[in-house]
Amino acid sequence: MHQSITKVLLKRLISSLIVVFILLSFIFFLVRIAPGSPADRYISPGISPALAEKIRNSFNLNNSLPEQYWSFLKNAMSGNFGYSYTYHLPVMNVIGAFLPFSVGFALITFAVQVCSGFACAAVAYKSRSRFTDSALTKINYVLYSIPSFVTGVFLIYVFSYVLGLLPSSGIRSVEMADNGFIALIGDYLAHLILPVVCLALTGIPVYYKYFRDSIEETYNKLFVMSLRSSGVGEKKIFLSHVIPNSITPVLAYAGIDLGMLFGTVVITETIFGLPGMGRLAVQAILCKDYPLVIGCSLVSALLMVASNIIADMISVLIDKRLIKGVLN
Amino acid sequence: MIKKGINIGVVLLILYLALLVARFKMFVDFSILMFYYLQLMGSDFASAVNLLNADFADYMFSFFMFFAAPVFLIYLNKKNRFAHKGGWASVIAVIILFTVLYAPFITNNHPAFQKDISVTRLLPPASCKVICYKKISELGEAGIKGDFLKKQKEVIKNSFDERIVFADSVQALGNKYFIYQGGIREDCDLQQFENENGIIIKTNKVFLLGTDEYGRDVFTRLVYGTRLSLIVGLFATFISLLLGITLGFIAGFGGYGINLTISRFGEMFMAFPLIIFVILTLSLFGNSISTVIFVLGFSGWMGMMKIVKGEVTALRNKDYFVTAGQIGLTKKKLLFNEVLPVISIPVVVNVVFQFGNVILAESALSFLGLGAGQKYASWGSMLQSGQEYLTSGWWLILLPGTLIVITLLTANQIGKNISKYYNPRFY
Repeated sequence: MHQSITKVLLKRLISSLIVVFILLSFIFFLVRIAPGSPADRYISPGISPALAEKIRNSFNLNNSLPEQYWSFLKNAMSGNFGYSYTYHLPVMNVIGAFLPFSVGFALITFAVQVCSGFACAAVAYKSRSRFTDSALTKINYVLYSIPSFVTGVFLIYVFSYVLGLLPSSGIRSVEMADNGFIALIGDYLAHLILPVVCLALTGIPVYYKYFRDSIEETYNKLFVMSLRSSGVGEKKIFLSHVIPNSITPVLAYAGIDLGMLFGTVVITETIFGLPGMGRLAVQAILCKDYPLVIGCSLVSALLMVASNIIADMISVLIDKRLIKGVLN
Repeated sequence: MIKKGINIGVVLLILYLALLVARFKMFVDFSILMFYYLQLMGSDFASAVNLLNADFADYMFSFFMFFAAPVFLIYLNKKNRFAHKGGWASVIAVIILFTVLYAPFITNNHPAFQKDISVTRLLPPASCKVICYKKISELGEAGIKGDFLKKQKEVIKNSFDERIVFADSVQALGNKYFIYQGGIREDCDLQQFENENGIIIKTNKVFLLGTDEYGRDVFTRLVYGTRLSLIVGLFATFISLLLGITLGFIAGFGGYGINLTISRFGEMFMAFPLIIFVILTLSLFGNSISTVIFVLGFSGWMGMMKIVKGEVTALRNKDYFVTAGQIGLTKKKLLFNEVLPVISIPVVVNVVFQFGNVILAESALSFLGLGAGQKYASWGSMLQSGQEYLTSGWWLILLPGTLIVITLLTANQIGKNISKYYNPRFY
């Protein structure tokens, strides 16, 4: 059993890495065949042609494409993805500065999404085919159609402007001096509430739908009836039987969704001015910072692969029989 | 057939009649313009072709569609489809389509028209301003061409019109007139303005949904934004449909190697946040309406490909398909009689959802400043620019935001309705 699990893991890991590799090569060539050179940003019309030529050469973009690709591969193998043009730092250092925030933000949002989706679904199921159920279903259906940038702008309008409760952008207040650790954490949290709510509102309806169906399906299974007939309390059935059984089918989607979150934070980060990976990637793209673009793509693709594999592993841990599904 | 609901034909008829009554003068004027144009074509064909610009063609299209509409309605009536009833989603979809078709006649304004910003800047909805008309001495050409150009200037709205002067109010003091513009009083020389026996001609202009920071009419921009969104959605979905179906067929009917290659290629795109890919391509190759359409079209084929591939692979082993092949049906007949009807239902549902996704993606891209560009009004860019005037203009974010939500809700509901119609068991 254990052997097969490692085998499956390895197989999936290798095939995913191949996909990531092809993707990176694709982006590498796409960036290079595009019109315009990143060096042009650093050459003003006034400087001498010799200096301009020197600057152009310093970007190493004059070699033929295969040569550039080969040197990119050689360097990438040793973990060197080049220097960012805008930050003048190694790409991985730049990403390292932005990644922790993004991962934390995505994980918090993910947790909020799953928990509130599940809570809504549980409440809706408890009051099935009554007012609360249909109201929750309708609200979630409408929420599903509201894009995050509309939600974000409205949230800022209501909570930052009209009510004046929460800060509208950034990750920490400017005037925050050393007021102690707790005040600092509080400040961070206050800045995170709106972005998390904004991003979570787009995900909650999907989880609600999945969990609502899956809870209903689980309750209709025969083992629940058997448990009831042997006198197990409703609370215990729900907590230790229904929850684990209804979570498993959603996990496969959750893995993909968590991976996607690392990419879809772009818009939320732009609205709320947060220092995250998505905004870094967009800025790198707009500044033609090619090494940083490739680095960001690599990291987000790897995060996606990792979250998929982790989700699969968790579902296998919950239900050992699912190994066959993961195998294929 | 849905039993209860709103009659689509009646909705169309009401919209049609309302437009006809509200813009009757414009239709008459445009008919005269068309008459001049036909005359010009008869006498001077080359200059007639030269005068046919995008705006005029746009008006002409809407004008002809307006006369084609009754024919269509009568046809529907004959087919007894006039009594078709639909839910709220169909009604909104009909209204949106109507807006897209007759945009120039509905708004009677140019989306980029701006004049006298001190008066028209950031006006709340339903505010009213005064228009005076400046006298412009024109060296008009003689003959039919001159008539045509004069009429064209009158009917077809431009992004700039030097005759119009917006004012907060115009007051008469004795036989002198004063124009108030943004708190500044200016003497008004009667010689320069259109007047009738010494009395200045002024009309009231109501900005139905207010104006933005450049004094442009929000209602007009919303209508043209609807147009942009729907056109981008339509073409991009069409590209994804073509690509998805072709690749799906190749993957489904091809051998193991082809199938694996195409599936892996699709997976590769799915394994990467698509919005970053789209932003990358748009910023590399420049963003314009055509690149947005192509990029969104090329980034949406994976779902379609998967569905078609799945259906085709399942179909290949079905008994009736094998029998039909062995009976001796030609490949063309097999395709049209056996394959297409089976795959059409899931594909249609997917197309509708994909349409919603593209509209969402387009507004998200415009929101990030990578949409069709400043030349076109777009919901996303309106929302984005409205964000900066959050404190002074709530309508700048509320209206485009609501429209985006309503459109997406409609697309999702229609997709759900179609899928419900074909697979009633799942609901």
